[in-house]
Amino acid sequence: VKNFIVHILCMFPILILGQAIPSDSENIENLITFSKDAPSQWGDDDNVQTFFAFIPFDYNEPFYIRIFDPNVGGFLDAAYGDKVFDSSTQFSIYGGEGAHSDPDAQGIDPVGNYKSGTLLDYKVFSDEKKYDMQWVTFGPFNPIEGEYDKSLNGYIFKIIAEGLEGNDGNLYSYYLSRHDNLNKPIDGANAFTYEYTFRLKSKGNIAHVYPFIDENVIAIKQFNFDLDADGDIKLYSVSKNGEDAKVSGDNSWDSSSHTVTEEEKFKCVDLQILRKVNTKNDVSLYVLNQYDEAIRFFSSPLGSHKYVYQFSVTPKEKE
Amino acid sequence: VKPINCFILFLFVAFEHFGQVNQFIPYSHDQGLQSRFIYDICQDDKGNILLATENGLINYNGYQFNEILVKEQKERSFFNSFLLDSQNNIWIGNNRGQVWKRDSKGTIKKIEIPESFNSAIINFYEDYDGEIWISSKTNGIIKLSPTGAQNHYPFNSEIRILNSFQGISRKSFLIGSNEGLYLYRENLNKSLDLVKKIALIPQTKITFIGKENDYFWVGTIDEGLYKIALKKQDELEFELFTSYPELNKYSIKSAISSKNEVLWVSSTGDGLLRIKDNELVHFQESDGLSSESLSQLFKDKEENIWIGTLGKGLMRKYNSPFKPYSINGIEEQEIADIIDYNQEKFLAGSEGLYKSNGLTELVGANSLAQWQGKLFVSTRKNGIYLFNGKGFSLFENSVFQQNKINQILIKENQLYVATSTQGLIVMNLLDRSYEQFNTTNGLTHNEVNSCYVDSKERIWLAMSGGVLNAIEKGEIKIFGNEQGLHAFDFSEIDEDENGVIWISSNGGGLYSYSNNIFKNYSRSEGLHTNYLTSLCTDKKGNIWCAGRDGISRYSLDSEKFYSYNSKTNIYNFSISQKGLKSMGDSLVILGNKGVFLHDRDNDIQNTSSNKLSFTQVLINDSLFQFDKKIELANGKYSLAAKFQKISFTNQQEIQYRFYLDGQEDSYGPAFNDPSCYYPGLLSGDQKLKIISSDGNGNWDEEPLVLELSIDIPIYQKPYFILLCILGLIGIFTSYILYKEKRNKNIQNYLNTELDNRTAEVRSQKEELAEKNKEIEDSIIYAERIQKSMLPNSKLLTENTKDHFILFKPRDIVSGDFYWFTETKEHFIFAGADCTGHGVPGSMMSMICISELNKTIQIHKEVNPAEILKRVDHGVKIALHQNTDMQANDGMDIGLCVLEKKAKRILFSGAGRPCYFIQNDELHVIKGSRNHIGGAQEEEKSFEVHEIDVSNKTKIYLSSDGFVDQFGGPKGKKYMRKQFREMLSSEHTKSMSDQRDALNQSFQNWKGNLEQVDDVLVMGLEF
Repeated sequence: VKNFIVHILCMFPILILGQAIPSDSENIENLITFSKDAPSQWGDDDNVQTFFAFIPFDYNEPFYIRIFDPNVGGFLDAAYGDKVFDSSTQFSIYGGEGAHSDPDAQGIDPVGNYKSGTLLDYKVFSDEKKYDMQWVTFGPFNPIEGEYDKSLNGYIFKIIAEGLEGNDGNLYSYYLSRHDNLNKPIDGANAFTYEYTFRLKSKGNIAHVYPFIDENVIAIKQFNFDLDADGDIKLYSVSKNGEDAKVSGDNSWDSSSHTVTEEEKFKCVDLQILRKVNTKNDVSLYVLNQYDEAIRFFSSPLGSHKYVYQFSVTPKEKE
Repeated sequence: VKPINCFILFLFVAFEHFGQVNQFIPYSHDQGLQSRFIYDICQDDKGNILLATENGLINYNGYQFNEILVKEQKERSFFNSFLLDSQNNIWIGNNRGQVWKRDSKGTIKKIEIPESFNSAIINFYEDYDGEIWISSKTNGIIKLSPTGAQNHYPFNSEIRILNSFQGISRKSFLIGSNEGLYLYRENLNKSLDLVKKIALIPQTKITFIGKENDYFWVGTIDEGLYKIALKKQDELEFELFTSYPELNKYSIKSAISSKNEVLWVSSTGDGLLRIKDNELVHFQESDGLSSESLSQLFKDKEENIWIGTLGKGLMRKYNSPFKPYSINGIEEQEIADIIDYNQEKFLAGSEGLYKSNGLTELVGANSLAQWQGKLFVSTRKNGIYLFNGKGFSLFENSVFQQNKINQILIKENQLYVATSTQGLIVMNLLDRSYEQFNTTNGLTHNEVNSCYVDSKERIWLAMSGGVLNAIEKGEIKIFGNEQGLHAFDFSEIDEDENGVIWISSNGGGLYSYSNNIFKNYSRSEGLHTNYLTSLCTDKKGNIWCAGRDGISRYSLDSEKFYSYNSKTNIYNFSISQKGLKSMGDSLVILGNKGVFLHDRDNDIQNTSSNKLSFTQVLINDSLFQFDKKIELANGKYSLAAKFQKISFTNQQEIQYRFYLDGQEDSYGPAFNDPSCYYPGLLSGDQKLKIISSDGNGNWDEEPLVLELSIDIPIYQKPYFILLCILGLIGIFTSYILYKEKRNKNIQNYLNTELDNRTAEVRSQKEELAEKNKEIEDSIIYAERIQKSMLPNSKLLTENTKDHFILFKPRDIVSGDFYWFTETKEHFIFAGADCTGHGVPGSMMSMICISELNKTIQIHKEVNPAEILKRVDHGVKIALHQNTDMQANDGMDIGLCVLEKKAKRILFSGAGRPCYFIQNDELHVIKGSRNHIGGAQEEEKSFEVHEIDVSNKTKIYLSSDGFVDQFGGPKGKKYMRKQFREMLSSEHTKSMSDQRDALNQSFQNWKGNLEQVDDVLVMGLEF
């Protein structure tokens, strides 16, 4: 599996431009993290969102992790309750040993040693106007400050967005850049998470998330939270053509299991969420394999293939 | 406002199109630097630039990058901080909390630090007690004492991330965190306690704290840059000196100020910032930066600004003191002259006359001058043109066209034209009259490179061929070797504000002339070359001179040269002949790539104060440590040493001189090559001494010394000599002792032998004495017998009137004998001398006496001749001389027979004479030559002589013992003559007196000599 992933990453580095998180291919408006006093029914079950940035081994220049609109306030973010922004969010960057390899880092929930690795930088944002709708840059980082992942043949950095005091929702996005004040993509870079919390676009838009199916996966189970039952979730892959998945209601989790075919292995499943209403909705989503291990969602899908239609021909009986 | 100031303003305003000069020198893979991420920079005491990089600790000496400490190949870490402490130890930390220490000898040791201390080392700090403080990003701070003890100070709640750490006073520290700047202090209980948060600094991420003199620079990620200082050292109160909030859009990584109050600021993503007088200049990749992601800034001892980048290696800010500017089209032209004409700048270029708005279509202009609103333009081949602002017209073509003009000069309505073929032409511009100075009126020759009219109205001519001419009131003076000028050519002449004339030369360097004395300035004084092509003075007390590859400035104030190497300061720029022009307060440099202006603000004279140091010492091609005395065993050695004085701006101007103290007496000539080689080293102590110049003629006062000691040959060593001496003494002593012992042994042996011999000799002596006594007794007895056989002297008394017998046997018994007998009528007496003496002689005497007695008594013979015959016969028979046995024993004898009655004596002698005195006259009767006895077979005949004794007659018979006695003053024989004279002189005395006189005479003659024979003298008076 590891070799295959490396193979894929090496073969298509130019095609992977996943430095924007969420990426264009995901068609997700923004990531969102609510502060800890926000009720879970607003869509964030744990007030923490962890992303992992992947920098390929061959890239040996400094890079930056940029956050768009990191503050909690202003134009983009969601104020709740008294409609006054009184929240803060901390963004932390981790690298070094254990940043990703620690089992707690790969969990669904922010428990245990999920802040594993070496803290490289952090910053707490509140309602500072100077950061509103602005890019804030962390770095520069030397790629080798990350944790080397042999399966990916690159370095992994962990980005944790953690809602602190307050109850507002912080909408933001990331970009892995070669430049400190410009979004210049890094060839071969990518990002992944084990649990997605994001804001869905309005009615008619389809959000895509891409759980990666490795050779050990024979079945997946998707979990979604607070989808308010106002849309559909469908699975697309080489073997699935819009396979329905269960949709959660307000402030609740729902899940559905789906078998995995051999053709789907080493590829991403396109998990599509179709909005049917115009209201803003923030959801959380994760996928487990048959061992209840979380499956990575890559910002830029790896090895995804379109559904291959299969026809079964039944000979017409002679009259 | 002076026109010239307008011109200078014009230069900077009108000519805005400055040429592009790369102000940043990159050091990356192409220059040998393999590392891309430069995290920290510093400089060691020798001037090497040290770099903390992702690959290791790198050293750069101006020529190459060398790895000092390299991380393991598989190690996914990088070195991001280091410290050069007061002991020249280098402390190195990486991003994983690991720390190494490299001591001054190059030994690298990993510091044992708890594994939990695993976040990036941010920086090191050495406090006043020599303790090393190691700050980490998230794991707190560790203090290492010189004894090796460690104190770990974890962060308290205020600090989650440490971005910078700086000691400010004894045990007090500034810590930059993500939330602002904190002041901490180590207390006596060894805790690191928060003193306060520095409110002067915004509560944002502090990216950098740097100390510069008594100030601290504090950089932030988004709130700009601040300069603070302690109000009072003990109170830990800060005051804000300067802030740069306008830098809030830059993430500041480092800040450093350089000369001329320029502040340099690096940002982590926006390149380099230069601030001076509140003017901000932003340098980005488009300005020559290799990267805009910068890390550390560092200012070295030469005021070079080094810029570390993250991802693109290292850069050095290049401060060019020359600012290029150009008019379109002249960038690649060789410009020969420049002038301000009608508030417009005109340049004489290789392709024509340029002005600010373009080319004026005159080919090959080489010199410019103006007079009364007219611009004079000289050409090399086509004479002089007048330019009226629109077009050209030939000026006095008949005079100047064929003259190959080198320079024109206008002063006081006079046009001075220096030519290659016609010498100097001076034309009065008012009436066009002219005067020509050439060989016909005293000029050395006609090739005048340039001319100058000084304040005393002397016309100076710089000539080819190493000659300088001066025309003073029409009189031509020639200066050359006799005045101390030694050059191939002279190029230009100028005068400073003190009236001193300066002359540039090709080959001889720079000359000054004042008070009729020329003074020379050459490379040894700091001039960059002795081959000068241009010269000018400015109003700031500087003498500028240029060669093809650089410019030197001589400051009249400091009396020093400052060099500007064109390869270093102006890339690929070759300065024109007479390419230096002083215009107002500024210096203009003309060359093959347009024109440069001297930028005084950027003229930072970087002289290397770095120490001269060895880089390699090879002895017999083997590397040796050079930080201590090299001691070698005796042998043949060669020494090759490489050394360096690091300069990043003036490397080519640095010179070295060296000598080997012990083999040479003084420093040799200056070289640019930083190496030396000695093929053969003498034994003993030697010192290689090297001094270097900083490029401006300032030589080290103290030399760099390499001490060598080559063991002298063992035979030259004092201890060996001493040992030899002691050995010799020992050998000599041993020899003496041996000899003494040997002698002693010999002595003992001899003594023993002597004793033995003595005993033996004594024994023998005793035996001999006994035998001798026995012999002596026998001889004495024989004497008695002999005496008993001698006749009784009574017969003599009866038969003579008087007589004496001097009988002196040599030994006890005698071969001589006297004999006499009596018959009735005869008295027979004889004196005989038998052969031999002693016992043999006595035995012979016994035989002869027996024969005489037998002849007389038995044979009754009284004829003396017959007596002798019979005795002869009897002796032969007795001695068997008639047989075959040869024996010559016998007897000489004088025999007298007194015929009593006849008163007559008959004498026959056998080998002996008879002396007789009659009438006071001595007579001698020789005896026969025949002797008694012997082997003669023939019959012997003896004559008989008759002596009448009727009258008083004294008869003397003797043996030959008296006359044969040696003695006298010369040890000669007594001789018969003296004997006869004795007898003659003494015969009157009584016979006893005669005997005494003879005896006395004999003793006197013999003296101490031994008596050689028996002596017998008998005297008888009748």
